[in-house]
Amino acid sequence: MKYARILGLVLVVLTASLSFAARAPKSAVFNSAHDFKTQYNGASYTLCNFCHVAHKFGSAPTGPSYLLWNHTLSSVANYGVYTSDSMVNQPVDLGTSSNANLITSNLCLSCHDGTVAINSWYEAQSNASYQPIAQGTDFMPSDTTVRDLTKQHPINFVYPDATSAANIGMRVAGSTSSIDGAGNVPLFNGTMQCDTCHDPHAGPSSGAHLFFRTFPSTPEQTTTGSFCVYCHL
Amino acid sequence: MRRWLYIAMLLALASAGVRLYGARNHAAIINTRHDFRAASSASVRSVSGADACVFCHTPHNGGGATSDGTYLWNHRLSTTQFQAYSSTTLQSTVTPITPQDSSKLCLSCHDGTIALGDTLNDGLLGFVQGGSYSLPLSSSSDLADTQGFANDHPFAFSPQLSSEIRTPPPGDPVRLSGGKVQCISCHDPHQENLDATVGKFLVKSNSGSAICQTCHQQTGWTTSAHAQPPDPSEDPKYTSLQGAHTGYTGVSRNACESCHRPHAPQVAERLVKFPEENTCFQCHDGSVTNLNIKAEFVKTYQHPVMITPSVHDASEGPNSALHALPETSSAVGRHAECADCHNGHAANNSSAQPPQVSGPLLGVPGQSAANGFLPRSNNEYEICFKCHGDSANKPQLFDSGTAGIGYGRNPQRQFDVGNLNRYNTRMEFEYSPSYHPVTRARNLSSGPGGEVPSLRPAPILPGGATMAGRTLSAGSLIYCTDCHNNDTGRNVGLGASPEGPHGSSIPHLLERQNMLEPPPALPGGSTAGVAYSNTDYALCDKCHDVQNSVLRDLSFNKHSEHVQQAGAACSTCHDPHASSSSMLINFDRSIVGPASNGALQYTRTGVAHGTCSLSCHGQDHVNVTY
Repeated sequence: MKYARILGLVLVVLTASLSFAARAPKSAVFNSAHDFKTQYNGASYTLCNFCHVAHKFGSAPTGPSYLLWNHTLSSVANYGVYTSDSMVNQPVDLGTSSNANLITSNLCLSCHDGTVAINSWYEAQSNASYQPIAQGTDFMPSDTTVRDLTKQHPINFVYPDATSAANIGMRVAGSTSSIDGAGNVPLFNGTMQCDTCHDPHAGPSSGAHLFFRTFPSTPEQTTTGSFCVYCHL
Repeated sequence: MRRWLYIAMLLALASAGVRLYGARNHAAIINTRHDFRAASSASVRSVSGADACVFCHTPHNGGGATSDGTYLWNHRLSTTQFQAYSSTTLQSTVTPITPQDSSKLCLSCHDGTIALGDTLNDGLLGFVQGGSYSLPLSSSSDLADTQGFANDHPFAFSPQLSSEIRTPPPGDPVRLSGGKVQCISCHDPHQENLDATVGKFLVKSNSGSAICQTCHQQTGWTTSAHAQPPDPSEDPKYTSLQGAHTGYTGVSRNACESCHRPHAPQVAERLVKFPEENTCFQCHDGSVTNLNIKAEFVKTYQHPVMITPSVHDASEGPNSALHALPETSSAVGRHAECADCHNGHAANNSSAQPPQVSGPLLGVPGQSAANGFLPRSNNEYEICFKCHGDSANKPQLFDSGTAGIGYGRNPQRQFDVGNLNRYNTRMEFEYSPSYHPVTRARNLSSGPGGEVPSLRPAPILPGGATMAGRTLSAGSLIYCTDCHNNDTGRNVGLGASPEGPHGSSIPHLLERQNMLEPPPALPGGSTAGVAYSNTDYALCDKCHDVQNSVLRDLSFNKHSEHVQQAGAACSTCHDPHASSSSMLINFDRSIVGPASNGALQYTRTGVAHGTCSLSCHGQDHVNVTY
């Protein structure tokens, strides 16, 4: 519980400093597919600790996207990048050979590239006192992993500037921190990441499935029934 | 470090510059034929789909593997291979489509093998037309149809550039994908009506074939009558009734697609809408053009355009293994199609002086007077020499009657005997000592006392009026079509019918009458000949004043005696093409026989003087002089 309290404080500070728009509360993760506390019934971690921990443990890397990450990161060297003839800015590979530093999407990939067990944590590796359950036994099912990023919507690329976006039929980003300019469809230093579309804390109550963010309502989305057209005008 | 990375990415953005494409509008897919939501107004749609994107795209684990990316493809890909387009004039290499071609994605529906709702990540989405409905053979959207892609504009190939093929200019909505022509070069799958008339998801308006001409730059097109119809009252008459399939009316707006169709034309090779002349007859049967060319081909003597099957090939030439011209094999069937004499990409109504090609004959291959192949003829006779010169397969339809699908009665000429080149019109005109000035000027003096005193100052129309725009003098050249032409066309002052050697009711496809006399039982034998009428030799009279010069004996002083009294025809003594004798004397051996001393000979001894040895109409001439 100590960790949870500290983590809560940190998150309050983070939220205040970034002044993002209204989002699903972090507690919405409860009973979602990201609620490992419930799934690992009897594990000693809190709801948050399956991903976050208040103090850096062991070999956990740090950096602006560290987000007090507790889950063992992947060591995949190259994920590949999506390309298309209409892309303005090419993505940068999120693998360790291209990115020595932590990008926010690397946190997601620590489970979702399928190479690291869900139950693999830095804290547990470094301190035998904090073994929530046995380590390294559960892997993501293949239908929720994205090992080959050439076949995924591109991430870790600089969202096109206003002129380019207009030319290729994309919504012009409101700022380098979000496409709507109000934080609802976030960018990270101008780049698109997993979190642009997904909110890992957005449990079942916030959307139909798959931790989607709630996109600002537009006529295009209403007619197509697809949030893709929020950006792809 | 990450900050540096972003700076580097931003710099990359700046250096990449701005890439222009046609205005994209993905949400425009709503209620198009590509909107398969259950709520779509398209007739082909899913039973329960709510998301318009999901039928083609998925954010994760897409299935495509093209050189341009996966396009996050969510539709199951076809594995069926179909025949690729080919043609004898295709310069590019077109191979069967590969998974690296972005067109492969389109074919996941458009080759008809995969259900429209068969997604990779969202299961099989049922359609109103059936749970696993795929495009049927009867659908024009099924490109594979019964001929594979052989009858579709080639795609998934790198275009071979030439003077007539270029790559799309930067920023044009028409674009190559990965350096190749792909479906998306012409089609934007998200926007159906950028060309509001055609629809079809075209990337921009195709009025005047603007899409086609982004790459295709046909020589002569911009000044052709098909790009700029000379008669503005004719153009709008080309409608769907005549065969316009785009929704546009008028040849100028249908442009390329007046004759071609990029998908499923009747003739796959070169994507021609209808077999050969039927493409031309959409308009040139009088329904659009005021002049009815089609009606010419029912005349007794004709270029057999409607009789020969579609054997013309645009690759014909000396270097073509399959379609050699001039023909090297005497066994190959002869043919005459519209495209043998006309180039629809270049033809117009401009006029010219002999021997140069006039507008309707611009841009047509030919064979020069020196027997060299010309991709674009300069002179009219060069077009004729393609078939009437050195081709080994002539003549084929030998018809010695005076009616029928042949030449009419063929005079059997004095110098034909033993002459292997007797049907080689090119050699006749180019190498004979006396000749009509088709390929070379004759330079005989005209006027009183001249070598050809009968020569008019200009050709005349049948009524006697001077033909506009033409003069005759010693150095003049004449066209093949001055003699071989429509007998009822504008060329003879009758406005309702086209000029040109399409058909004539006069043997040898002549423009005007050039009477032959019926042969006697034996050459030289007694005969009444043919009774003289002053219209019988209208063809000769066009340039040679028959009444006031020839028959007044201003050159050969026995002309009137032979023609008017004895009933001889001009053709009995003269060969209208050329002769090894002087003055085109080349006796018709079916009428004229040797003299009693065995000689059959004409010798010119001076202006208006000569010597003849022959027998004719029962008369024996031994060294008779005049």
